[in-house]
Amino acid sequence: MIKGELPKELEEMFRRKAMEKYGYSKGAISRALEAAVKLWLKYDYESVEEEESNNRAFESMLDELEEKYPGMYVVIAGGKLISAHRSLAEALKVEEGKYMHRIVFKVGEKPFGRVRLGWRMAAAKPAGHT
Amino acid sequence: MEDGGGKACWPYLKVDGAGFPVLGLSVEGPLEAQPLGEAMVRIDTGYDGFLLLSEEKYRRMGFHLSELPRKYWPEGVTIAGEIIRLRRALAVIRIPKLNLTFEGYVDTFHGNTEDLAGLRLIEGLKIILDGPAQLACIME
Repeated sequence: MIKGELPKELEEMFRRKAMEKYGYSKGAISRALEAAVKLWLKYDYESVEEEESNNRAFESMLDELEEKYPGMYVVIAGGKLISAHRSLAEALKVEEGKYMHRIVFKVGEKPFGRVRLGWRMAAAKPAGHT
Repeated sequence: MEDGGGKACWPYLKVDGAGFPVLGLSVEGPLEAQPLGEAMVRIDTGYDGFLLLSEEKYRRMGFHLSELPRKYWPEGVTIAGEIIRLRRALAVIRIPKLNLTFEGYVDTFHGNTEDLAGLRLIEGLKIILDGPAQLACIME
């Protein structure tokens, strides 16, 4: 049993949407909550602290990197800029075990943001007893 | 498979009686201690990314050590309109039979068990799908 609180406005929107989708039945809210949680689990990732700190570092230094290292492969780890390389192969070399997470990207390159996946997601398998 | 003259071929992968075209790729992850070697990766034109790897392989090969910044991770949209958040990392990909090397993106998502070569990977390659012979070939 999960108990929690939502902001009033969000709760009203959620209840309204659940009723629209699943009808005015007793189980509508539970079904909608289950669908919402499944979607969230599929969509979001837990990130380790190092990943968060690397992404914060990236955001804070992006302008500087674009000015100093255009077209180069930059490595961010441990929450700071580690190195910049002319080739990806160089940037991929890593001291094993030293970092849990690293960011490597080519400065100035903006990758395509949305991809088409030509299939449906299979229905989730029951998790079984816990 | 006999190759030559700048051509490399791989027999279709048989799954439940159906043949799927595959390419023999070698993906280089940051953790060199766990190489994938040449693996048969299915061509899937329904996936318009570069290379999709199973979540397990993505982790094992250390792609969390060459990930793009989170703001550059893509969203994947299924044909049913579901939206999935993908993780994305930079990788070096080789086709050992032709001694070809290129750079690209490796994607994965929660629960993914498939390895697929997408449209962006094959757009730079001359590929012949020989249905009667059940062969996928790359011409140099």
